[in-house]
Amino acid sequence: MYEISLNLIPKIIFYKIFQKKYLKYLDIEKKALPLYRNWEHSSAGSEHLPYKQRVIGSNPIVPTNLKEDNDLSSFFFDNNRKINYICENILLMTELNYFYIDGNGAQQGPRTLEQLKATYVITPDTMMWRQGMDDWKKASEIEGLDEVLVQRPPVAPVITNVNANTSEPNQVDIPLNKPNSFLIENILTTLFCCFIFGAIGIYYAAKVDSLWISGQYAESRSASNTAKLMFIAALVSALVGIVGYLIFLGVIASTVGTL
Amino acid sequence: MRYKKYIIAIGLIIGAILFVLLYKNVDPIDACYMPKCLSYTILGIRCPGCGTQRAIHAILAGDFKAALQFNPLIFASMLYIITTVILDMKSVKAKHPKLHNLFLGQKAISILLCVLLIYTILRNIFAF
Repeated sequence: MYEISLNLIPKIIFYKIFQKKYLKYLDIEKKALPLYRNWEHSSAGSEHLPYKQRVIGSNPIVPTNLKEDNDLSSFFFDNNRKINYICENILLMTELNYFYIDGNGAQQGPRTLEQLKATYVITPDTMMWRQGMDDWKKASEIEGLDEVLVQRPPVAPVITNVNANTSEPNQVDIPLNKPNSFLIENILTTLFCCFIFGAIGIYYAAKVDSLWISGQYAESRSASNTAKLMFIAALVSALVGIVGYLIFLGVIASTVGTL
Repeated sequence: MRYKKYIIAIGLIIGAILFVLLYKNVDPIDACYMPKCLSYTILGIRCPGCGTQRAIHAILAGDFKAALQFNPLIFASMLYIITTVILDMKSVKAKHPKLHNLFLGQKAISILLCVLLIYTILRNIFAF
């Protein structure tokens, strides 16, 4: 028992590190188990890993047909097996395990499952091979690839661009929405909060519309942002002032005794 | 949230009532806990909004003349803000683009800014 728990330590650490990132894959009952029907193949495939070299006996020796065992000692073995499942599945996700045949008939790989997910190259008909498999299979027949297949976008409709050569890209550069000028907000802060920030804000608010009409969209946006910043600065300064004043009053009241 | 509007409306009404009660019963000159103008207490400069609280108190007491003396600009600017808020609504803006431009164009805003700054300078020189 002692030996087993010692062997588990690096695996548990590994599991803990990847727990959050791969939590969605770790649904042991539903997904991971079918991936793992034959142990020996896949653990043999990942034997080069450094942690495996150091740890002897981490390969699952427990026969899978001993599932229903209510013996207390089997609790540890079961845990060992579970963690093995998890770790090996994480390895399948993160290691360069997957090869596939691309559209031109050339072999591609090795790739990780994450890479395959990100590149959307796998269709249900793509021929694939992974460490631990006897022969190439269609991707739809391989267990554990559901996520990769599901995330593939549908085939995009072919767009024939008639004006491709004749006209420039029109309507693309012109943004639709005029940025908010924050004029009224800045007038209010000028009167009630801090007239310095407010006045600067009004100055920039005046610029927003005319810049927009003259077509300088980026400048208009930056003027709008400055006006917004001034509005917020005035609000914050007023808030700080009021709170500071109240604290000041409190200090005086506590030292003198009365207000 | 079907009731969100009603909750906000009720909150606004309660806030307005509290506001009126506060400014009717408390004279901001006497009460030390009413917020003071930052620029006046720190820099000694009267800002364009100075005297608003006193003006509100005077209006609620029915003394409009005193209110105008405390801060003449605040009434004009309130009128301006109300008109601009109405003009800035989409339907009104689409109907009266010229009027919108008259009140919210760059010229109008520049004039407003000049008026605010000149008013600030004048009230600091003549101390009103």
